[in-house]
Amino acid sequence: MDEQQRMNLAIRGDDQALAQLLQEHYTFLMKYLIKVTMNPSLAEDLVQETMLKCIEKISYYNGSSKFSSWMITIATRLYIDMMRKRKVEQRWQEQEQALRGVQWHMQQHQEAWTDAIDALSRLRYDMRLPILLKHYYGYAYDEIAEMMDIPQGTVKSRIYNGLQQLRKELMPNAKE
Amino acid sequence: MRKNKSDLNQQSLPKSSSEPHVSQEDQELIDQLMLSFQQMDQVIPHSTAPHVGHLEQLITEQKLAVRRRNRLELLCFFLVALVLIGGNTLLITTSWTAFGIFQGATFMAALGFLFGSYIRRKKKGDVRHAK
Repeated sequence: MDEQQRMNLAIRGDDQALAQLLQEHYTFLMKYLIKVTMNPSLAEDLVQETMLKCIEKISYYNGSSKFSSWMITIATRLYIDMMRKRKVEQRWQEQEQALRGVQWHMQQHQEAWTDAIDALSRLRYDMRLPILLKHYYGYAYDEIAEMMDIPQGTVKSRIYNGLQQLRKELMPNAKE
Repeated sequence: MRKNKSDLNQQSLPKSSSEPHVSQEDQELIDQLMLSFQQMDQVIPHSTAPHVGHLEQLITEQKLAVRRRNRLELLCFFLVALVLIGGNTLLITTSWTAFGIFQGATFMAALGFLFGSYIRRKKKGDVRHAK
């Protein structure tokens, strides 16, 4: 059975088809959320929340986008909502702690904690998100706007400003 | 089929989208960032996907919880509607003036609420966000 058939069955209320879809996309979703949050434990919580939301909303899914895109749209919105509700101080403390964990894992695997990763981790989440969606996952501006529920122009400016900020940090001598 | 590079089986480093206005300097930066994202993908441990049976159980439980919540919401809606309609009917039968005042006050409160939320949204520079 291919994904399209499973999606159709899941929309019609087939629990087994939905379970298979969720299982197949679990790792993809987890990896996406790790990159978005840069915090593995937070990513795990968000994966759980996203799956529950997917179960709840599956009947509203119209199949016009890929199941993975639909899932990361839900995950992205849950993450943005969560970040808006949290206080800046609390966010900063949690992020610092999580980053130390990520840094430790990278060193354990002999991967350098590069300036690029450091700069990315310091970038505001609302700028990191569109950069990731645009350049890593290859979504178009209008799709990112839909995912983040913001105007297309805001997506463009956040990507531009995010890259400018990263460039300033990584290449201090580069021209504006 | 979308053109993105997010296929689940994708193994190679995703290349950033090549847009004509991206300068070489920016492209280098983007490549560097994408490499970092991929390093994170490979290195950071994550839990394995749960079994299908476990997920099916989760789905059954969640659907049951949603059904229960919907039923409760419907019950609350009917109760509130009953109180409102009953109260208004009682007001009409006892005093038209009180009924008029109540209706006017409700209308003004609704307008005030709408205006207040519009101002709040404008201040934040926010847009509606799906829950």
